Amino acid sequence: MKRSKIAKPTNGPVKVRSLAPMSRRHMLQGAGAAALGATTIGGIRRAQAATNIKAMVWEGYDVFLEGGDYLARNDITLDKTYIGAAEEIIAKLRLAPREVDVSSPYFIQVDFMAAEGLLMPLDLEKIPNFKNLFPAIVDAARDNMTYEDQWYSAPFTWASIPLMYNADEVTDPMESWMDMLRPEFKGKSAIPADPTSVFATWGRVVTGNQSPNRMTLAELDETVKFLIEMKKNHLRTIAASYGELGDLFARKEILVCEGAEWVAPLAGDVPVKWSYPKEGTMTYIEGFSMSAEASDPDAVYGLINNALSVEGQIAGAEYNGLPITNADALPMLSDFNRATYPYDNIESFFTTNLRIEQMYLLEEDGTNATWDDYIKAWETVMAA
Amino acid sequence: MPQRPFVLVLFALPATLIFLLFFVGPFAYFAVMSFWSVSAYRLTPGFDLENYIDVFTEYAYPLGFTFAIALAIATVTTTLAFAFAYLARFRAGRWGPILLFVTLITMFGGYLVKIYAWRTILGSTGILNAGLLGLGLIDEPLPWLLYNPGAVVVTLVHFLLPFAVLPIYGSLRGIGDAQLAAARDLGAGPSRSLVDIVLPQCELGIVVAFMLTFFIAAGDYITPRLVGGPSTAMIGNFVESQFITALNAPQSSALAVAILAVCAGTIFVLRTGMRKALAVR
Repeated sequence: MKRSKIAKPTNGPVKVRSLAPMSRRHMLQGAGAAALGATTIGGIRRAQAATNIKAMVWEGYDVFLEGGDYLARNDITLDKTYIGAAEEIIAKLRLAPREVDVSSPYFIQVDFMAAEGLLMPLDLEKIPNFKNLFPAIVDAARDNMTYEDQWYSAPFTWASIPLMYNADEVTDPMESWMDMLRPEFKGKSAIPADPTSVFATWGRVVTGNQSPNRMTLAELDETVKFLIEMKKNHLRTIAASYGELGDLFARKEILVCEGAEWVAPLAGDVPVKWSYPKEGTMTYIEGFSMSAEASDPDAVYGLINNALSVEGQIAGAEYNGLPITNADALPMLSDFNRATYPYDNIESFFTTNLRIEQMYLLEEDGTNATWDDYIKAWETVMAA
Repeated sequence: MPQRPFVLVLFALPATLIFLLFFVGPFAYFAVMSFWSVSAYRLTPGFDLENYIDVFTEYAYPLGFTFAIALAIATVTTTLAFAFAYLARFRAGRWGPILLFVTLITMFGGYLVKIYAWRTILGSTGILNAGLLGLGLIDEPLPWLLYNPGAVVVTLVHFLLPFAVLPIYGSLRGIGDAQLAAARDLGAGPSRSLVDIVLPQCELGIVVAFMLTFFIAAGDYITPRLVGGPSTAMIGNFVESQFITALNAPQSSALAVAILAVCAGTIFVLRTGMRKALAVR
């Protein structure tokens, strides 16, 4: 064993071995050299990373932007701010638009944000990979991601909110959302604490309204009553997040839930499968948008294009367990990802199984419920 | 020698600045904002009492529920903390400091770790259910152990106990052994000594412990979400909902002001009540 070089304490002054004699002058010289060195290194670092882009996205979505070695090749650094709710992007763009260059707004809010002047219209010529996107996804995203015929967001992934179940325990077909309410699932089912998906899913089931983001107040009340009844008499819990649903499956607290495809791998050894019920399944398409006051639009175009490239798509999709939007990336996807999402029949899948919602009303129109009404309705469910 | 006023002001200045900058300033901002309104995600300054009307109408039940559960948590935690601190100070002898050290060590466990630990203990496939099943005491797991208000109380009591032990132990340290010996010599039993000597002198420690636990419990929104189940939403969950999901900072500010008012009122009642109850007879 190597012995310590520190002298043993004695009764007198402690003698410590020094490697070099240190005078006040030496110390000042050293400090000056260190400061100069730090300044120089800092300068070199800044010179090496000429462009700094500020991203405000869900955690994990940054992997799409960074995919491959794009940042290093282009001398870009990415400052990331992860969001806890899509609405944070609206607040940030309103209060400090120069603090965000690229973001991933909730796609139903994109046209509203464009109309408010928070986003920059995208020049698709500068995003050449856009033309490689699955046409079905482009068609599905068009209404929400365009404003006055211009695209304000570029779709890089999507997912849906299907009916998930423990395939070991649930053998009967799960064809309707109402199957979740079978007696054998009492105390063994869950929904996420996500009012957007809960109202989109159950509002359609309860009221038959095919645009559940535009329910009337009476329909919203009807849905609230149904959800309160379900919460009190059927649910095990309302999961804090979608990831939490995977944990609930793994701990065998639940057998069925309203979830998302990417939850399945989080359930550990429990085999979780899902079905797309006949009433329809809510779908969301995620896109990257550029802030109206982006500091370096060309650099942001480059990043968005990289997110849609084969490298960006593979990196982001595999990291997050999410599907791709660029058809060219398909051959390089893992078997697991290809088995998880219906790439083979994506055209019919988007038109038959999935439902694309529209933006909530933000101001009263005398007929339909506003976004505030939906929030109040969710809080009524929570409080009951 | 009396200190010059200038010196006293100088010493108090850093703490005063920090207090103003990090506590009074932000709170004043939220208090002002609580009278504003929001339309289409846009803040509109003004003076509108509607947010406060909502607090006492639409949020009355969650506010009351939060008050009740926080009161239960603070009462249980403070009682357990007093018993533990009393044991460590007067009964454990040389083991007292070790008990205190163990209490401090548990604070390194972290908040979320403790929540997830209790989920593991109380869950359907958790340690408790597995043990009861293994002993043949039950035929199937008890689902009511988790996802209800009781689980929130258990989890938060466990988390908050060290925070309550420390101020109570600190105040018990100030009570000299000679006073207790004198009381004993004069014929006072243990309960009489406790009521007439110990409690009056550690009243402040008890109030501080109660305040800490009550405030933290009343403002918590993670624990009810992770172990509380579908019917244990506390007022913090509604502050989060309004602040983050609805982007309605004025409404959430009004809720925050209401929570603070309820907490301040509770502490005032507690302090007054304890002073009267423990007044020297």
